Amino acid sequence: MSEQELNFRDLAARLPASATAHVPPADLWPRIVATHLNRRRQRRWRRLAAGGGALVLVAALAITAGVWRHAATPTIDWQARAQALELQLDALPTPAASNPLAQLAESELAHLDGNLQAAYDRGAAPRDLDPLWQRRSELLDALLSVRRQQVLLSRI
Amino acid sequence: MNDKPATGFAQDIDAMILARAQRGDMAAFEEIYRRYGRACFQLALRLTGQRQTAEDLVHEAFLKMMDTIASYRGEAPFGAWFKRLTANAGIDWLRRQRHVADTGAEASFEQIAAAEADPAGLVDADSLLAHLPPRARTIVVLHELEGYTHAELAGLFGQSESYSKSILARALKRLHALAAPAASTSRVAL
Repeated sequence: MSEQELNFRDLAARLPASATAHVPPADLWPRIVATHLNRRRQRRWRRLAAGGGALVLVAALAITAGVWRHAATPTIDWQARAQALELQLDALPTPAASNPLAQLAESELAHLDGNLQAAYDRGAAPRDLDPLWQRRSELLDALLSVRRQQVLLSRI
Repeated sequence: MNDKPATGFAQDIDAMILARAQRGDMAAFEEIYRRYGRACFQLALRLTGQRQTAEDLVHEAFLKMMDTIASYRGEAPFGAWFKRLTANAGIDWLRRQRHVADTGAEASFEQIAAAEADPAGLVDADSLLAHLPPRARTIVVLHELEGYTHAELAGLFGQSESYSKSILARALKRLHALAAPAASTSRVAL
């Protein structure tokens, strides 16, 4: 027989059929199902864990960004600003007649100064003092505007 | 005209079962197992020659099928697609066994030739295949029984076509030499 003619089908036909039943065992399918379901469950858990991880990451990033933004925001030294405004106010000539708006601002300033003093007396923290100094700056700003206006009018 | 119903991997699959399986329906998977499980096991057994390993291959092939069936688009009949998946699982097993190296295949031929084959053990075609080195057996099974071309085998093994042709020729020559006494005994017995 030449090599060209060799083939397995002819050869197998000359031999008896396989005596062994080539049937998979009865428990093979249940085993496959068990592995498949187990893997599916694991994949679901991994997806959940990945989703949870992503959420935690996003939250952490948001917090970090918030902290960074807060840190990056320039803080105003309200105390220094108030003192600077006070110097500007002192430099202006004292008006002959008082203005009702100026009176209002001066009255609130006096009240605020009392509060500031009380806060310092009880040893208040900077975060409690800052709003008082900020309000003082705003009042001085308003008072300065009124005085400048008065000066301008008196010159005319 | 051949009216014989299709068997093994040649069987068709109902479009409804396929659609349900693609949605992950376990009952549909069970129907696929009922239809192709035996063919898958027979191919795995011929490829490996070991019952336990064949079970592992079927296990692996079905898991792979369940994971990838959603991407099956029907370019080839389902049976052919699943047969290829089983064959690939067999070749992966061969790789894990380190039987794929060129030198390994050649050396295995020589080792097996040196061992004396017992004609009494050659009772059927499957036991005859057990006398081939793993890679040669895989090439014989896929080419001679499952209709793979040498070009396809070359792709599967990452070798040239002439390599697969050479292994096949040597394997068939060896099988005929081994089977000659067994076949004549069988004819006498019949």
